[in-house]
Amino acid sequence: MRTLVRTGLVRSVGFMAPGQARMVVEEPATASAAQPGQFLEIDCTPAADGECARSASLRAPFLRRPISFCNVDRVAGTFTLAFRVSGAGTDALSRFRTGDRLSFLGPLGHGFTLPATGTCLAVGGGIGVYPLLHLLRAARERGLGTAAVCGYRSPEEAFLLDEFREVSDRTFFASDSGGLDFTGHAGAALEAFLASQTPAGPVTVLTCGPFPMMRAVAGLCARQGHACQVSLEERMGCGTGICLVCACKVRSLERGEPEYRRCCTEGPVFDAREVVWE
Amino acid sequence: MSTTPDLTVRIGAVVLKNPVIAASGTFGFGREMADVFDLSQLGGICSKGVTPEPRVGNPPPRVAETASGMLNSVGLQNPGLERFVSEELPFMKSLGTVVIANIAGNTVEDYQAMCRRLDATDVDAIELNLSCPNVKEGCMAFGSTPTGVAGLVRAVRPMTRKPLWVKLTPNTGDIRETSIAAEASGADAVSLVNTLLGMAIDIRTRRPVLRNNTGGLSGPAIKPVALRMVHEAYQAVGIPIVGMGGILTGEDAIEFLLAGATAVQVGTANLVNPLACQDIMDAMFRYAKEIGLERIADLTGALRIW
Ligand SMILES: Cc1cc2nc3c(=O)[nH]c(=O)nc-3n(C[C@H](O)[C@H](O)[C@H](O)COP(=O)(O)OP(=O)(O)OC[C@H]3O[C@@H](n4cnc5c(N)ncnc54)[C@H](O)[C@@H]3O)c2cc1C
Ligand SMILES: Cc1cc2nc3c(=O)[nH]c(=O)nc-3n(C[C@H](O)[C@H](O)[C@H](O)COP(=O)(O)O)c2cc1C
Ligand code: FES
Repeated sequence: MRTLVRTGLVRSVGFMAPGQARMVVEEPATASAAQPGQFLEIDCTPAADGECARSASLRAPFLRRPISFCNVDRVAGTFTLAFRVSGAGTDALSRFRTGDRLSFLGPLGHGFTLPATGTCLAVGGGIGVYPLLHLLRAARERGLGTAAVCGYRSPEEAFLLDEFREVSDRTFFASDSGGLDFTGHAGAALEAFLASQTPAGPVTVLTCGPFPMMRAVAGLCARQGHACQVSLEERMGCGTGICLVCACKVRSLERGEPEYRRCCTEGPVFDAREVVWE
Repeated sequence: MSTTPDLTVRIGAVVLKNPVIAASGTFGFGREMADVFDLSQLGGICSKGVTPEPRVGNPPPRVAETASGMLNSVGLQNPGLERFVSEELPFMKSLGTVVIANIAGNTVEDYQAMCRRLDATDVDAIELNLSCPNVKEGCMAFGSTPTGVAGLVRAVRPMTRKPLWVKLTPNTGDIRETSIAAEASGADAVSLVNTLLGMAIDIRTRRPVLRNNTGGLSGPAIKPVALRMVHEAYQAVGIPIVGMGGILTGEDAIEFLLAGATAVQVGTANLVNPLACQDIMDAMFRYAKEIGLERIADLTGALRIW
């Protein structure tokens, strides 16, 4: 049997910047199973001690929240979640304390597929940069070339720059309001980056961020002949494939007809050529 | 001397190992959970709603969280009856538990044709979904009035010897009347309740959160309403009641039995806790043992009304 429901120990919680939280959780089995681009469905209600059925009936927030792996340390048996506080669930999550227990399902979903050779070029926008850190670390461990193009709203909201430098052969940081390597969104930054660099071997672009940005990235990759994988976002109910609420519109490469697939199970990562960009 | 409580219950001719059934639309066809816990322990599994032809479902967003629950507007996304019968049903039957096919259609003829087809399979029971709030035609339109229920059930009854469970909507005037209509027309059981029609609004965009504008409310938020309806229907009909709506714990399930349900279905709980059915079965067993109950079936309708 597969263990789906797990409990981890919160090792630390803090803010990287206003509204941007980071939590380190210890759960060795999850840390060793986590693949880049996968996520957890997290119970943002602090785990109740003992069997208090009544409080179980009064869960708030009711649904679990999908959060990606941002970093994984297999040796320490820990993983890092990085998230923007954007509502009741992520707010409650940011209020966990060291020593609390965190209930989650996962690792879930179909993540990024690392190429056999060449360079992994990760392109992220906003909170979409978070899962790319884990991805680049995994790519480097495989001996692949690594590069990161990350777009932020402003230099003040640019996080994890040092962490990205550590796992990338090259980095290119963009901000909508200037002050970094490039002024503009991550899609435009990617174009400028590819015009100025020739990464080693075939380039595989792996992207996560706002839908319009990923559409621009996918369009550029199609024109320039780079393979491209995109991580889509959709509201979820279960995260495990049983409820069908997380429909993503994709066009099967074999059948060609648009169809809905489950973001939590067949996704969140899809081949960019399959995505219906509407 | 402490005895081991007997958890088996009977819904007409169908014998369940225990009263816990995974509800339609919240357990797929059992595939995703088959390696998560031993599904042969379940009282039964009810399939996702199946329609005559494949349906792609509604555009997203299809879910909105609410206080103690959720709204969904999936819109009966399913592979269609033929693929259900050839691909999903054999898998479900291999799980070692009772399998119920939940079916929905636009017309009386749709339901008749599906029942005729399912009659030739080894499905254990058919649940007529007369209560989906997320599709434009049919379905809930039949279930909201006693004449609609009676007309449909009477037309479908001769098509199959399989037990027919009629799943009713809480979006109706009086659940007693629709339940009585189902019983009088030949239903073997009624399943109460499907989701309550609701909506959620995003005040920044001034748009409904759901792309379908409205959706079905489920989860603990609807439990008091569902419980009251099971209680009312129990007083009105003699056929067994399969109760559901907001069950998260064993205690919740026992409340439904006391109100008059013979078995329960567990829906939304599976989404937040994939082991919900197992936890609920365990808790019911412990409860029965603790109070020295010989048969869980003795709880049905054992409510002591004031
Ligand atoms: C596969 C996946 C991975 C993700 N990884 C991360 C991550 O690593 N870091 C991060 O900051 N965010 C991530 N998100 C987005 C994150 O899930 C939402 O920000 C979060 O669910 C918001 O919950 P809330 O209660 O704070 O907000 P509320 O707006 O109060 O949430 C209400 C409901 O809407 C859903 N919801 C709201 N916004 C989103 C959204 N953008 N995507 C999906 N569901 C949403 C919530 O889950 C909840 O059910 C990810 C989303 C997906 C689908
Ligand atoms: C995501 C979702 C999908 C559902 N799909 C169906 C369906 O296909 N057919 C059906 O009869 N009921 C469907 N239902 C209703 C449930 O089976 C159940 O009647 C209802 O959710 C109330 O129980 P609960 O509060 O335990 O979820 C669905 C419910 C949810 C949450
Ligand atoms: S969230 Fe339930 S199927 Fe994807």
